[in-house]
Amino acid sequence: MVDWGQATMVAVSGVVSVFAVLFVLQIVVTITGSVTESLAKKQTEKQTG
Amino acid sequence: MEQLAEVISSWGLWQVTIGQIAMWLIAFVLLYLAIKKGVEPLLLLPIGFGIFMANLPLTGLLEEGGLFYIFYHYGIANELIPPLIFLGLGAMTDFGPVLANPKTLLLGAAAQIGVYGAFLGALLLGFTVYEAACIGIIGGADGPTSIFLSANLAPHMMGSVAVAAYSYMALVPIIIPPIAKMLTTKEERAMVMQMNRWPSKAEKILFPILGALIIILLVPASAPLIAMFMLGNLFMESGAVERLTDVSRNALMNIVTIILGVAVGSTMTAAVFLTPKTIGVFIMGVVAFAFATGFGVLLAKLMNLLVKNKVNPLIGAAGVSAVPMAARVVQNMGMEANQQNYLLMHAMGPNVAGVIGTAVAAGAFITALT
Repeated sequence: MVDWGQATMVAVSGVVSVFAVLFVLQIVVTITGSVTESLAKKQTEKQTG
Repeated sequence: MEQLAEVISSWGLWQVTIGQIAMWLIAFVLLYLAIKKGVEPLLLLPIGFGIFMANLPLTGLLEEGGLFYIFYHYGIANELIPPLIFLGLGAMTDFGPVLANPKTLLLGAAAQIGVYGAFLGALLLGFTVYEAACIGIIGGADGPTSIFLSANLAPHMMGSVAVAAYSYMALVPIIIPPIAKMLTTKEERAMVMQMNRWPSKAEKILFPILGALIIILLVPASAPLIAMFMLGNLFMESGAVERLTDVSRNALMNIVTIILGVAVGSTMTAAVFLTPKTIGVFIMGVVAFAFATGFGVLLAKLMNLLVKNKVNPLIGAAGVSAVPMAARVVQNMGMEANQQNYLLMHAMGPNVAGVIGTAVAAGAFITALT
């Protein structure tokens, strides 16, 4: 006999975990990208200026 | 004369069962597909031969201390080999497309909804919750992750789950197009995407470190796979350990692939494999795959309603992690709709995100069920 309450919780918690992980990762990747890009820009400006 | 009769009566030949002969035929089909048709030969060839050997009588290969027992017990049951495969995969994966367009990470997550949809479907068919989890993960189209999860939750299902996962991975060019076409218009498929920027070396080095930190902190049970995946990637991106990168993606990968294939094949004895449940695994496996593809495309369409820089919804179909085949299929479909449409690099984003997503889904299953 399947415990549908538990099964649904497994599915919902799984989907939430996957989205939470990849959403946080997306934010971190976006921030890291912006920071490294601006640092690179500043360095280029320093060298040319 | 008596001795001769004794020798003859000790032949394995007299112990062969109909079930074992049926398993030989299955093994020969896999060997044929691998050798003649080129279907995932690196895995299906050792799996096929492993099945063949495991179904020969009186070999002792599967008994405690036997060769295949050792491969299985120390390689898979102890969770050693799937993470080593992930080390090699990490050393071959370029996260550049994900870093260039981070929102594609969510498309890799969307495909995992299909995994959970198939999980619930398998429960409806009468599978236990552990078996259903292993069937659902087939939708992630990631062989090592499927094997890793089966070893944890339902070892008796490992053979059928692994063969289903690798077979459907090989069938990506047949499974993805009808589903993706059904869910998109020709105009959507023809949409050209621009590559905004290419990430710096620093970003590529930081990603495996930050990625491992975030993923493992949120889903610790995914650590064996994610830790090795990110380590392999750090080997490659750092450029500091050429020898380790090379050995991870070539020699080590090849060695563990042989042991993995033979060990998985050796679990498929007639008594374990020839059951109605195996048919259920294959049916629900393709359903899982179809769900995963569909949800990826649908999330891409939903994303287009909310963001300024729209994506071609086809790239959502690459969220299943059959790397790089799913991305190639998307590329071909994009070009079919518009000859100037080059989607490969864009599709690689959700494709590699799918690898992470499937490993996280496996970790979430383990956390919830053990």
